[in-house]
Amino acid sequence: MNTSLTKKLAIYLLSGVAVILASFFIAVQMPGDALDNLLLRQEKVSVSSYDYEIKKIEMAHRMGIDKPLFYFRMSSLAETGYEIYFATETKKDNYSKLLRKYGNSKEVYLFARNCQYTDEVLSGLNKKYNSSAIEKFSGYLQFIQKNSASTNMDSVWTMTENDHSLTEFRPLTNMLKHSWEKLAEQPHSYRAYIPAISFSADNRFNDWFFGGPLSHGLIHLDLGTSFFTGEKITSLLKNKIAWSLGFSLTAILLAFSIGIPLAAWIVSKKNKTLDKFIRIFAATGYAMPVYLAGVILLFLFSNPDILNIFPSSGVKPIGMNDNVSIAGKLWASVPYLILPLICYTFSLLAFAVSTAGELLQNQMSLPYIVTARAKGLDEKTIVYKHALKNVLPPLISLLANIFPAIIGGSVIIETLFSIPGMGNEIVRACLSRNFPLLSAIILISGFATIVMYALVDIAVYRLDPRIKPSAA
Amino acid sequence: MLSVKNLSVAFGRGTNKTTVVNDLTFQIAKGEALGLSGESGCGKTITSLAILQLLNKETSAVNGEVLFANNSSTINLISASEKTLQNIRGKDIAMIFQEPKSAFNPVIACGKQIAEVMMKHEKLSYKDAFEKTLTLFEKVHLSNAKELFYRYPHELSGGQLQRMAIAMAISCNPQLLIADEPTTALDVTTQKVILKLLKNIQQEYQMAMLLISHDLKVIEHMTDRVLVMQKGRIAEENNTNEIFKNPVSEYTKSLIANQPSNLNLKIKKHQTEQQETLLPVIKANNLTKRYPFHKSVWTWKKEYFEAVKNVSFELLPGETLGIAGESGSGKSTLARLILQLIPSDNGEMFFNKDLIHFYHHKKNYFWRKKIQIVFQHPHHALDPLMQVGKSIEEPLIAFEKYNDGERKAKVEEWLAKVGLTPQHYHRYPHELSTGQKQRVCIARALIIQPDVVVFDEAVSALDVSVQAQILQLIAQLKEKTPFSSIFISHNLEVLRLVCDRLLIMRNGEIIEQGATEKILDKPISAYTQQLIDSIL
Repeated sequence: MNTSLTKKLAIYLLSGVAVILASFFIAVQMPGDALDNLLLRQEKVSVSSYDYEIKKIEMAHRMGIDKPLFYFRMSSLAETGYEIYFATETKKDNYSKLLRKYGNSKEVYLFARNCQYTDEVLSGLNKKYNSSAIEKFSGYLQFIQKNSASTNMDSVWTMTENDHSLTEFRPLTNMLKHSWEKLAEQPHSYRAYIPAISFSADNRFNDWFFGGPLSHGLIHLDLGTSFFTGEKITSLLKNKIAWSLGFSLTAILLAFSIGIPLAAWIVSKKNKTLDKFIRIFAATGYAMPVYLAGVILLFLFSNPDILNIFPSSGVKPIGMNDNVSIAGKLWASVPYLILPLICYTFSLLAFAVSTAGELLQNQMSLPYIVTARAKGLDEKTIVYKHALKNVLPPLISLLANIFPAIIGGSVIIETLFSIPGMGNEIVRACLSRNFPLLSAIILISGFATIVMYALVDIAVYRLDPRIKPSAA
Repeated sequence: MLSVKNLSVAFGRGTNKTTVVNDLTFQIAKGEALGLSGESGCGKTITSLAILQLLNKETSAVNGEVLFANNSSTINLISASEKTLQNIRGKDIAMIFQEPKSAFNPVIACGKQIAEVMMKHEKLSYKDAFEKTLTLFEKVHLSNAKELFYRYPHELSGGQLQRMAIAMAISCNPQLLIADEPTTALDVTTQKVILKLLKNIQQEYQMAMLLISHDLKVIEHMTDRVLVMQKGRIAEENNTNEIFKNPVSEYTKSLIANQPSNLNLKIKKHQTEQQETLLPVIKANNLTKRYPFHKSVWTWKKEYFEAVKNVSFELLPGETLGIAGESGSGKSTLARLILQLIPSDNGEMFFNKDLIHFYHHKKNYFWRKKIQIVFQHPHHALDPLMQVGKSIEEPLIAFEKYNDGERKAKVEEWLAKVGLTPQHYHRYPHELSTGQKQRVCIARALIIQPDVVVFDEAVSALDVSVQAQILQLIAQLKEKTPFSSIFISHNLEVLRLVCDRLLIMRNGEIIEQGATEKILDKPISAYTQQLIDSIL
């Protein structure tokens, strides 16, 4: 194994990790507060409802959203060790202010937990009695949870003690007061200034990658569910990937297997007019945008007024019998595939012909070609055997560079011809801000590109002896 | 056997037409070795390519007759069809090129490229061609033939590749062998061996040979008859012995007179005992430069290639020190270390007792003004998009506080000093000849009046007459404003001419140093002896 190749492959491995991380961080982002949306849809509770927050915390726990994001987190020493989920931002702010002010993370955590526990108890009581005292006490509780870091808590405690309507809640108040006193007793505010890394094995990335409450995990090829339809993303994309990949790989294969021999033929013939003609074709093909070509093709070959040879959209006849064999299905689809395939191929073909032609033309003036001529070889052997072998590695490297462009180009072609492929899905995911779906698409196309790069490097390594370690 | 009549080659069309070879007529008899010499640009190589019709037909126009007498019939190669030519090329007329590394296809095993010729012309099967290639390898003294068959060009040395090129050329027993500068790209020691091999094979196979070389020594050594070309025409034609003894044309006379061994320069300083006590301008102490590489993927440990190993020397004021060695011996790396253009890994470099180092702070680059360098290829050393005058004045901008007028006057003064005119100030490098470009490089190095100038193969890429002019220029300049210099070259004759003392380098180490005459007349080490023997 060669050093440079191994280095390159290691870099691809790293970029694979980077793609996984990027797609994870996109997947966990949600438009607005997705939990709110889900709650409203599933539980039918109104936003102003009393126990909305408790429901939200429960749901977050059920879905594993209350876990930390990743294995590691950089924070101060005060903030490490105890994880707690808040339903509203003000409470979260208050909690972190408390941490910064008092620094003793365990006590702060216990206080916040006690507050949440009291909330739960109150919501249970509220269902049964629904008295004004409960309302009042929960008002105090909300105030404590939102402002405990910035107000004088002693006055709050005396106020609750002096309020005779709250006597039945005395045990709860005492519990809260007791945990607050413990918290305020020994502040370690210096802890807020010591940086620390907190580690947690149970986190959202772990769930997303190895399987958790939401999905079976990426390693089981489960990319989660779409937020809007609730469908499994994997089953949603399976057929679409097949269409897109099928089209682009066929196009690459066609373009290169036609383009390279064509270029070699032109160079070996030394025919000037032919050369010019092909050059014009290549420049046109390269310059014409895909959508224009698609529209022209549709206009010419799928138009009842001119030529109505090919169907204009879709990939198979409407209402096709499912009992037909695979070969039969394919045969029925062929007329649907021809126009999109031409659209996919023609710019690639133009690229292949012009690049291969230029690279070959450059080789033809090198000394080893003159030597080959001096050996008495004919022009055909020189081009096909000597020059082409030198041109293949750079050509294949260029292929890796255009592969991402093919994925981008598929968006337009698939929309134009209504092909149920990835390109169509990209547009839909972007428009509806369906982040989990978008992240899955990023993951798939990113990996396809990386695999393509790696394959190309291995192919170049096999073809060019100069990169191999010498036999010595 | 081959007779060339009124051959002329022109490039371009209409007003841009330039005639490179003009009305050339000569013959080569069977078994004769004909030499073709002349300076670069005189049309030697073009002539050889025109004989085999290897020039691009779209850009060049070939006129005249090249009659090749085959066993039975006579063919005019210029009017022959491509098919006939393909049967003659490689079979009846074979060719060896200058640069063996680029003459072989880099992605095909060398042996296969040789077998290909026999498969084409003698219709051998691959297996027979393989066997015959191995016997040919033995004929050109390549040991380990079977292994070398499957090697790629980048895995072989220049000498090995040139042997293979010879094997390829003789594979179909050609009647004529055209060797275009076969040893110019090789080391001096290799050159001698290859020439000997070529001569033996020519005599063994009874081939006629057209040897093209700018090096009169090679021609003298190898040929029976010589053609001297000047600007596309024949300047002189005669027997080899005759032409070197009594050259008739002025051009040939000047070529012979400009050979380094025939030159006489007042560049050397005659050492007296008084000067021995002077402090050295430059002192190198155990200089070492190594380049790291990984032997395998699985080890973190780096291996080192030592380009320069523990080199120590001194340069006295006014002295000229020569550094000699073959390619890969670390000469150029040493030149860069002397200027501290690259950091040294070990050892110290002193300039007048002051330690100098690459990693010194930029403000402390005092020695940049005091030590200057002139490189081998002047067209690579000059910025192609910068006027020559601007290139020369750059050191002044860096080191002196002149205003624009003074600076321009100074540049024009130096242009005159190196034998150019003030009009050259606004020229671009591509408008100058190689010799003029090298003069510009010398002016650029000397304009800030350095104490030491390093000439890194400064005359190796030049034609003999230009080489002589440049050497004379250096001698003149040194007389006017004395400076010490270090002269790096693979050519011992040039070094004998200019150097007071000599260092011989091999594989990064100094194996011998001392006064020039002493080393060249009574060498101690075997390697130095070998170098001296390889002088033709």
